[in-house]
Amino acid sequence: MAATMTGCGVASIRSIFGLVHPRLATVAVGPQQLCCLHTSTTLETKNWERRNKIVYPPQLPGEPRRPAEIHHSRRQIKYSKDKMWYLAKMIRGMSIDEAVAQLQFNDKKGAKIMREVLLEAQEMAVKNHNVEYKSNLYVAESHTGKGMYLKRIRYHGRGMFGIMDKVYCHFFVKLVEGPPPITEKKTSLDQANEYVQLLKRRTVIHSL
Amino acid sequence: MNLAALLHSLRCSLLHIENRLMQAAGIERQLVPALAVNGPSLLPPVEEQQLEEGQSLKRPPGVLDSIFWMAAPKKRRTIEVNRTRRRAESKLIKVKLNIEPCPECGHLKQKHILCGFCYAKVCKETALIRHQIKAMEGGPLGAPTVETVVLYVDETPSDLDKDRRIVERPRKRPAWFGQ
Repeated sequence: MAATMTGCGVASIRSIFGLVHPRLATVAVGPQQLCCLHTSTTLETKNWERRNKIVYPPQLPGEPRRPAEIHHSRRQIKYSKDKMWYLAKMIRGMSIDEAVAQLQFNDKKGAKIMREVLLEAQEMAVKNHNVEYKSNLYVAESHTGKGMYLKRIRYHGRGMFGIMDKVYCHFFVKLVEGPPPITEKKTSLDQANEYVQLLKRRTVIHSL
Repeated sequence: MNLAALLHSLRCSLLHIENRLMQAAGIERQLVPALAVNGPSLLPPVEEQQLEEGQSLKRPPGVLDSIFWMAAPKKRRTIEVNRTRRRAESKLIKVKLNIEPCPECGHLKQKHILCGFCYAKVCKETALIRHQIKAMEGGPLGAPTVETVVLYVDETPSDLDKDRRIVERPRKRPAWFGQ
C-alpha cells in the first residue's frame, strides 16, 4: 500500500516537505502525491482515510501535547443518509463508551453498523495510533455522506413509472484522545434573553 | 366586464384590420380567411358566448378540472425551511439515561429490561435441558403427568423428588440455577 522509498536524499526532501506543510509529509504513494494537480475524480478520492496517514514532526519539549486523532469511515452502507444523520448527531461530543452504549440500545438499523465502526476505530486507535487508554477517546466529528445509488423502476398504474433510488450512505467518524470537552448547554430562553440584551445594548448615533 | 365579450370584440377588431390590409394590398378576398390554422382554439368560439357567462369552453365538468379540489404546494420549500423541520428538537433522537451495568456479568443493560448476556446464557442451558427431555420422551405427546426436576452431577434426588421425573445433566449446577 505505502511505497517505502529508501535513500537519504529522498528522506531529506520529505522532511523539508513535512516542515513546510504536514499534509505533504504523508508516505508517498508515487509521483501523484507530490504534485498538487487534480489527478483523481471525486468518486475515487478517499480523503477521510488519507487523514490518518499524516505524520507530524516530533514535538518540542515545551509544546503542549497534541492529542491523537483517529479518522475512520465505512462506505456504501445500505441505509439512508438522512436517517443515519440523526444517530451521527446524537453521538457528537460523547465519550466513546457512552456513544457505544447509546448505540447498543437504539433500535435503528444504522445504530448497529455505527457501533461496529466505533469499536473498529477504537481498536485501530490502540493498535496503530499510540493511544494509551481505549476509554480515553471522544467523538469529535461524526457525519454521514451520500453513497453511490442504484436506480430501479417503480411501476405505477396506467403504464406510468418512476425511478426508484436504492440508497447507500457513508459514515465518517473522528475520535480524539482525551476527555470529552464540556459544552455549556444554552436553552432557547437564554438565547432569546441574549438577543433582547443585544438589542438593548445598541447606541443610536447621529440622533438628537 | 365579461371576458368572453371582450375577447370577441378583440377578435372582430383584428378581422377588421386584416380586411383593411387586404384592401390596401389589392387582394380581394371577402369571405376566405387568409390563414387557416388547425389547432386548439386560443379564443373562445363566437357562437358559444351567448350560452354561459363564466365558462369559456363547453365541456362536462370533470373531477380533475376543478381547481379547488387537489391541494398543491404553491412554492418550493427551501432547504433552510426543510432543515428546521427535520432537525427540530422533537425529531432528534433522545439520549437514554437508564443504561447501567448488570451486577451479575458486567455487560450493559437497561434498568427495566433483563440483561441480554445473562438471558442468553440461561437460554443456552434450557435448550440443552429441553433436548434431553425430548430424547427421554421419544416422540410427541410423551409428556408424563408428574413434575420434572433437573439434577446435576453429585446431586441425589431428595424425598420430594420420588414422584417426579428426573432429568440428569452431566455438568455441575450453574450458579444462577437455584436449588
